Amino acid sequence: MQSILAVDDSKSIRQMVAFTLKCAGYDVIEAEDGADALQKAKGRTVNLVLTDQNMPNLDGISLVKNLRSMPSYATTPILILTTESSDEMKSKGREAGATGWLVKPFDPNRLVEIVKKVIR
Amino acid sequence: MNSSSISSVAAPESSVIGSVAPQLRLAQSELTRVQSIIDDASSQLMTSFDVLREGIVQRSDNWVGTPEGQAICTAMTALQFQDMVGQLMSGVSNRIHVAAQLLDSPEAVGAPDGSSTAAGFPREVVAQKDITVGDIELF
Repeated sequence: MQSILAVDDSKSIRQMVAFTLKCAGYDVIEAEDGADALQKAKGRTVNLVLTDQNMPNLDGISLVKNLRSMPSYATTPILILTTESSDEMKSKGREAGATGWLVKPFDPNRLVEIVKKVIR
Repeated sequence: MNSSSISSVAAPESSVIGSVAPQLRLAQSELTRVQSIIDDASSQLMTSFDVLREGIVQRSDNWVGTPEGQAICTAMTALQFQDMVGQLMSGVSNRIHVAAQLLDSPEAVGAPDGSSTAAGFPREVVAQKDITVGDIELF
């Protein structure tokens, strides 16, 4: 089963993301912020990372930079799911190594479509 | 304008400014209470929604294509209001906090280029005006 690391400081968003992806057949590992995600990413590999941007301790773009510096996450698809929609932030995400930028709120069916498209 | 008229104008202004900071702090406290109510209500909504959702999912393998399945997807999109509203309210609360601090310490306003006042205010992180599904961009 392919696994996805879902990162968001909002419990309700994590619940909805996890439900959506589990229904689509994925194993979901939840993390409540970037620092938690980094800890959970170490020692395991996942097939995709889906992360919020604005979180305490470590934000999404910093998480992307940290993951990209790890050989096992050099090519793992990383999607940023956030309320932020400015071109400036999207550029920062792209430069950090993110695979895509999804603006909240998300539609569950559309999220699964995108995940299927980019997951490895 | 003579000196007495100047002082009669200046005094009320000083009094008004002195009363604004406490009102801003009260507004910040009220925002915190609103946030707490929204979080509590959202948590109860999510718990109830999870029970209803599980019931529908267990009744049918093909629930996604049913009207109930579509209703679940729509509800899941709408329930994300808590995250968006929470971030907006946090931003408003931080702006009020900075404004109250500036009223307490007017010297902070006097930076030559004004950057010290602007720098203290939070960045806008939520641009959405409704619960419409957001854009997707693959790089």
